[in-house]
Amino acid sequence: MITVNKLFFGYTKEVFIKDISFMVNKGEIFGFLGPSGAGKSTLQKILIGMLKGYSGSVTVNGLEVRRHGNAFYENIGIDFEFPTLYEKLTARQNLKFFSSLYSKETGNVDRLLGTVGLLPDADKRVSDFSKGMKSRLNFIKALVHDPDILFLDEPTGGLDPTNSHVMKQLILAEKARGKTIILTTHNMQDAHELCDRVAFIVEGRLKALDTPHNLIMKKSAAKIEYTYTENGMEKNGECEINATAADRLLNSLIKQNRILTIHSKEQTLGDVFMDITGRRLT
Amino acid sequence: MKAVLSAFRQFLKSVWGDFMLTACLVAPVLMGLVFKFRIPELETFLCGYFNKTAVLAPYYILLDLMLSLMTPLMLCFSGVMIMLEELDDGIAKYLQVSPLGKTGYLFSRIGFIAVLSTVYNVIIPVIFTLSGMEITDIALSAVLNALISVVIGMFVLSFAKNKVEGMALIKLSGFMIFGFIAAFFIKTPAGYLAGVLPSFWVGKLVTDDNYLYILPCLTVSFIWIVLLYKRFSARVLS
Repeated sequence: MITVNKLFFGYTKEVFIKDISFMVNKGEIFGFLGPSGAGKSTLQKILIGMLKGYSGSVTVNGLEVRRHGNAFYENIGIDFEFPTLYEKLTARQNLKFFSSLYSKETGNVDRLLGTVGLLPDADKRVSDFSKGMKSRLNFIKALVHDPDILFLDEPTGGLDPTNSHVMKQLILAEKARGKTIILTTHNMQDAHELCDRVAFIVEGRLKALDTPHNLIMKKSAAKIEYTYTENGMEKNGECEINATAADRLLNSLIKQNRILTIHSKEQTLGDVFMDITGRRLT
Repeated sequence: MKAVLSAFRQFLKSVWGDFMLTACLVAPVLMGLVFKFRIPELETFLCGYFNKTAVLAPYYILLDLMLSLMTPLMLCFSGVMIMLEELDDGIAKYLQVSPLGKTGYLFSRIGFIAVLSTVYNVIIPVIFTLSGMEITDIALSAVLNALISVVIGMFVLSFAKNKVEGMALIKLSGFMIFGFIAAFFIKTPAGYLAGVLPSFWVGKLVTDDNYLYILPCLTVSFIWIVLLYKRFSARVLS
C-alpha cells in the first residue's frame, strides 16, 4: 500500500529526513512516534504529496508521490491535527462541500454524521461546536469519499478522555472496514492501543520499527514491585519478574506474610522509546 | 474541473454570506451609477457657476480609468478576505491536498477574481463611460486590470498574517492603482518613475491611445508577480 525506500529530504541544504525505509500493508494501522520536531509531520507531508523535493522513492497506492496528479487525492483521506472547517457553515454544509470536491461517489453525509453522534447537530454552525464535536466532524470529513488510506495527525490531541476514547473507537472501526491508517502522534498510550506497528522517529531518522508488543518484549523484562513493613516503616522492594526466585527478601516476606502490596510493572512503549532513542516524547 | 467549480461556488457563497464582501462586489456598479448620472449634473452646475464650457469634462477619462481600476481592487478585497480566512482556518491547506490541488485552489480564488474582474471591467465601462472610451481600449484595459488584480491579491496575501492586516494592506495597495494619475498629469520624464506601477501603463495606453504600452504593462506586472511569488507560495502554498 505504501512503500518508502531510502528517503532523504531537507527543507534547506541540510538533510532533515535521513535514509528512511519502510512498508505499510493494507488494512494496517501504522504509527509514527516521536517528539516534536522529530520529522513525523514532515514524513506525513511527503506521503501526502505536500513536499515533493525528496530523494529516494515513496509510493502510495502504487503511485510515486512526487509524480502524482490531483487524482491521487481521490483515494486518500487526511485529518490534520487542527480542524479545518468552515466555521460559518453547518456541519452538513461542510461535509456536502468537501464531498463535492471528489469525482467518485461520496458517502452519505447523514450516515457519517450519525456514526459520530452529530446528526442532531447537523444544521448547527460549526462555530457553535465544542472542540470534541469539531474533531469528530473533522475526522468524518476525511471519510466523505471513502478513501483507502487515512492519514491522521494527532487525532486525540487536546481531547478530553471521553472524546479521546470516542475518537479511538472511530479509528478502530475504520480499520475494521479495511482502511490502511497512518497515525502521527506523540501519545504512547494511543499508539499502543491503536497501532499494529510503530516507527520511532527521532532527528529525522527511523530508530526502531516493530509491533508495540515486540518492542516492549525485546527490551528489559517486566518487574515486580512490592511493599512491606519493617520496624513499623513501610518499605519498597523491586525485582525482575524472571528473577523472583532469586530475590531472598521477597521470598522471606512471602513466607512471613509481610507483603503489603505486590504488582508487576511492565515496560511501557514510552519506556522503550526512551531506552532506544534516549529521548522523552514530551 | 468539478472540484474547481465546487470550490468557486463555495467562494461565492462565502462572499454572499458577508455583507461587507457582497458590498464590494456591488460597489463598482454603484460607483458607475454615481459617475454616470451625478457627474454630468455636477458638470452642468459647475459650468454655469464658473461660466465655462467645460470644467470636469476634460477629466472624464480620468474618472473612467478610476472606475475601471477600482473594480479589481474591490474584487480583490473580497477574494483576499475569503482566502485569509481559509488560511487562518487551515482550509486552504486542506483544499490543496484534495482533488482541487494547489493550482485548482489558486484558480478557484485568484484566477476567478481575475476572470470576474475582466468581465466587470468590460461591462461597467461600456455602460457607465463618461468619456466615451472605445471598446478596444475598454477590452484591453479590462485584461490588464485583471492582471493588476492578481498582483494586488498576491501582494496582500504575501504580507498579511490575518484579516485585520489584510484590510490594512488592501488600503495600502491602493497605491498600485493610482499610477494612472501620473500618466495623466506628469508629462515630464520624471512621470516614468511611476512606471513601476502597472496602472501607470494602463493610463498611458488610454490617454496616449498607444497600444505599445501593453508591453511595459505586462512586463511590470510579471516582474511584480515573480518578485512576490516566493513569499506568496511560502504563505499560501506551503
